[in-house]
Amino acid sequence: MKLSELPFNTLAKIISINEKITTRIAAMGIVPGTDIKIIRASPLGDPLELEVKNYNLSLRKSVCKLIEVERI
Amino acid sequence: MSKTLALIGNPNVGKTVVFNELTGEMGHVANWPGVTVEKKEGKMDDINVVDLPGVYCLSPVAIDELIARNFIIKDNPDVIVDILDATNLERNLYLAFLLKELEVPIVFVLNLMDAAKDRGIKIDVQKLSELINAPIVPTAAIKREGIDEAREMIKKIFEDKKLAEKSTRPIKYSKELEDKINQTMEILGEYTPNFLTEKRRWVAIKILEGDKEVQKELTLISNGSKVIEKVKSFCTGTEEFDLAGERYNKIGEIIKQTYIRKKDVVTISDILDKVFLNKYFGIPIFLLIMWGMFEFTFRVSAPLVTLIEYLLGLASQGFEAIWPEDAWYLSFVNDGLIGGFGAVLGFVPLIFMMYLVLSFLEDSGYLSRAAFNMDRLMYKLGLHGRSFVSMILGFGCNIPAVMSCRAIESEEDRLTTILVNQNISCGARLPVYILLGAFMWPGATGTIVFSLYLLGIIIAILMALFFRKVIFKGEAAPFMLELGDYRMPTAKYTGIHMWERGREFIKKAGLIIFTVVVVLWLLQNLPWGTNPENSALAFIGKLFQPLFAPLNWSWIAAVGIIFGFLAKEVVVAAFGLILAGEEGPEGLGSLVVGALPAVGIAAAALPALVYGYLVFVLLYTPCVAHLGAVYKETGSKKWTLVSATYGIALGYILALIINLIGGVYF
Repeated sequence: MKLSELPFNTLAKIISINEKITTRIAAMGIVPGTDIKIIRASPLGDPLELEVKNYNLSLRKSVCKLIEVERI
Repeated sequence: MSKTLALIGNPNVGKTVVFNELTGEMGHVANWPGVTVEKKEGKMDDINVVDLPGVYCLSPVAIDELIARNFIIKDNPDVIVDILDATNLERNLYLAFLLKELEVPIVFVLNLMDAAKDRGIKIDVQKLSELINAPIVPTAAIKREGIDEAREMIKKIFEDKKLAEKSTRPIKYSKELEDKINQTMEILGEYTPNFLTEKRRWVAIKILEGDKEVQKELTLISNGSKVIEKVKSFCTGTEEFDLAGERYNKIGEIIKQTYIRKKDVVTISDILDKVFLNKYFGIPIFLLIMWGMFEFTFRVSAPLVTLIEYLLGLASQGFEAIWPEDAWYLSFVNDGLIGGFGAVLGFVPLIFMMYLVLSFLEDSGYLSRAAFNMDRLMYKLGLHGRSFVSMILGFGCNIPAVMSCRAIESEEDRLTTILVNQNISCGARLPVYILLGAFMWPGATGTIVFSLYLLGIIIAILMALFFRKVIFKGEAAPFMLELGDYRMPTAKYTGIHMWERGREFIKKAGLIIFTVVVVLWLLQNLPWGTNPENSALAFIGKLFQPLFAPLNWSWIAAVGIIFGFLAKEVVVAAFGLILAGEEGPEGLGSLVVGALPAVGIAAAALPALVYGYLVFVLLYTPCVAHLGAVYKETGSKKWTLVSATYGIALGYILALIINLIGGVYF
């Protein structure tokens, strides 16, 4: 499933990332095999706050659509 | 040979604090050559310390990342000091790994150990140091803990060749990747033996990653293209992913052996975020904080402004008492110098208080939450969450607002945010609105002033849409925002940040406003002993008046606009000089409104004319210092010119339309 479709507070594993966004997003810890969780959405619904590699990162839904995850 | 040390680290790891504590100074600030990113330098004994931009990686895409990596590759610092956030070690080690690939002597400073302890994190520093082949010094820089040890270690690595050599040893990746790296290094050695010889491993990795910048430089030398071709022949195209994944694999192994984090520690940050990012309260709280920022800024600075004015008044009375009444120098000092200084000094407390609040909000970690809350709204306009903060700042002063755009990563977002900011009505324009509004619409001054602020916001939104959809087309850069822990800002560093921002204003705006007021005074009094109607100032006004004839303006109206271009603070002062000499604040409004229309304009057209005048004041260039800031931040004459011309054109056209409508309906 896409990261943007993952329910809140559900742990998932990153499977793949669209190559359009790889270099800089990798530096933020978004690489295949990493555990990821959505904590909350912004009050206006977008962007999302994620927990990855023990810290909190915010990404827009449009980017989350490019990240494929699997529930664990 | 002078010794150079480059300081690097992720954003929000306390790099400024480490810099200040190591060098014992605030640092000397300049810009990096050719770009507007700030470059800060200082001295630690005989070592030059260069503060590199805070970055997450060293890709050639973002300007600050390119600056950091070019400095390391081309300026060859003797030692790199990388500051790591102990509370967020895993992600921080990614940059550490990228730096290790450069094979430069390196020392790691493991900062924020105090915060890590609060979170129940334990780190085996000794083991960590062994695993990444480099010295590591744990610190809590804000409490000055570990700073002496860090200094010792840095000095040691400059002297101890063995230690330095050891820290350059690479971290080995998987066999498959190492084979590819070695193969590429051999090809490089064979075809381009002189290309960045000392950083051959790094060059090899970059070629495998398909790094655009390194490829570009290779194609410029003989045989360079051949190298790229040869390497391509054994690549699968997934090397960039593979390398990123492998770095995190290695980091994962290291973390497992050195890092213990107690599970289920609910931090203060988590609790604060439940409130500040709450679905229902998040935005009301944000608005409340912004309102509080204005309240604080104006309320706290008000007594200071009054005090300054009182002292200047005393000085002025003093001069009157000791100098002859008709002496030219009395008029120069009292009307020109003190009048000019008053205008400058009156704004200093305001600007500093605003920066104080802003620095506090930024250092505490709230500003990134504000960006998170407002991003959706800004995204709809093609902008970035951080653009909102810059717009809010514009209500105080457009210059710091333009400067605050530095935090916006994408060039298109940044340029758009800079270019639309001028429409947000700054504090300096308010006196003009009030002076004219209070006389023209005594019962509805507030509504009139509010309508001008609202118009400014609407124009800013429309211009943002225009710039983003028509001029800076293309995909918005991926929005990546770290929501780090909240931290209690310290008085010292909030003060330093306030000062670093505020001194720009004092230098630039102060000098300009001051000069303008002195020049105004001179023009008003030349030729010597003239009356206002025949002064040099009147001559200039009459020269430009025909330009504004379609708007039905008099030469006095023209003078206000021309000098308002230099600074809005002097518009009211200019009217005062021309019309009253002795400016009684009560009567000035009626005098000015009476003097604005050109000869022969019907009284019925007056409200439209005055409102048109105010709209022009709102929309044209806020001040010449604003243009300076736009030039400094965009680094482009073209965008500076665009900023000036579209403001003037919009102001003129809208004023004309208002006049025409007013002429028909009233």
